[in-house]
Amino acid sequence: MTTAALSTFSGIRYTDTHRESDLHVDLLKRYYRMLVFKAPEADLLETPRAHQASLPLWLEDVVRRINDSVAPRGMNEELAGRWLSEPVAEAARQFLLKHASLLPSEPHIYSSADGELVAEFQGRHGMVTSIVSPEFLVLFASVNGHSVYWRSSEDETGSIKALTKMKNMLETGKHGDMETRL
Amino acid sequence: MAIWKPASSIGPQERLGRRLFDEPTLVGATDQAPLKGLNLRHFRDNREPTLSLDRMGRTNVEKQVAKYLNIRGFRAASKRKAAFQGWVEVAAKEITNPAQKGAVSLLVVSSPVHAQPCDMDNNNYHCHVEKPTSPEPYYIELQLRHIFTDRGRIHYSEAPEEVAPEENWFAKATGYIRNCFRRLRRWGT
Repeated sequence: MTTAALSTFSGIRYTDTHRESDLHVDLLKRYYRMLVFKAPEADLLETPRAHQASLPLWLEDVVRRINDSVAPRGMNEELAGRWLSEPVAEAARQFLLKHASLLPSEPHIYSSADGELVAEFQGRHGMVTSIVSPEFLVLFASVNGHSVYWRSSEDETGSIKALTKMKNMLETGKHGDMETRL
Repeated sequence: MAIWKPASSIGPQERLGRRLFDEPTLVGATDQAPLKGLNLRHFRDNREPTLSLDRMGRTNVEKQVAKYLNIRGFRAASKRKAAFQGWVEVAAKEITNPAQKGAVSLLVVSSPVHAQPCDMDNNNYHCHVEKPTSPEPYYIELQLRHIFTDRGRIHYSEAPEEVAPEENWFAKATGYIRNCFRRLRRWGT
């Protein structure tokens, strides 16, 4: 895709000296626009194959499920596990886009009793559970009888570190001397 | 053999069961593969900060106790408008004294229900877990699910037998008198 076309689509000014890493960011931005604002999917198909490969194939399906589960206006009282509120859906989309490469598999999603989004990721040696809301993020991994818990704080990079450790645990099946609460 | 009458204190080998009901799915996610494991919603009661459990037997699930609880499970399901699937059950010691390093020991208290107007709402085998406020509630719920998944067994519900309406002498007598009147009326015409 040319820089002119990119500028037209995303509204961001691009220069000809566009680097490879920037393209990756562009791809995520456009992917996000496609999923959130339901922009044409054709645009994604024009991106280089190498960049497409870095995003899991299930991401589009999961974000579609989240989008389709957002409660219509005036239905807030009837959420009861069948609908998500818009702020929760937005937090869930951001979580998935930010951590897509660290997540082990296509998640099973459902609503918690308090209306947050619960996503369960099955790995080779266990499972990672994430609970996403606009206010907090909880990550919980259980591997071969051992469990690890992490809850978001003000540290933005904490979730990536925690998920990286959890992913390693799920792939190797080893929990070593990890603390129960990260 | 007489049905087990539970003591007020809960023994470490007692089997404690958490009832499993059908949980709702997101309207936009009906096409996803089913969850391999227990839904986190099973480990939350509306009546926070406790989690209701059933005492299902001294060292194993006891048949008569399961039968007693089974019908109550179906009754609870009809109130919740969700299908009753059965229980996931573990030994009490797994909750009160978890083997895993760093896990929180939880208090399980016997709390039989006696005062309900309908006998089917009473439960001699009811107990509950006291959820501490610290650490966070989700930590406790996730820990409980982890224990039930890792150490527990599923005990499926059985469809309750049709209960025949009770023979009531008053109903019988009024029916007999009503029939007599009907015959008299026919005879008069």
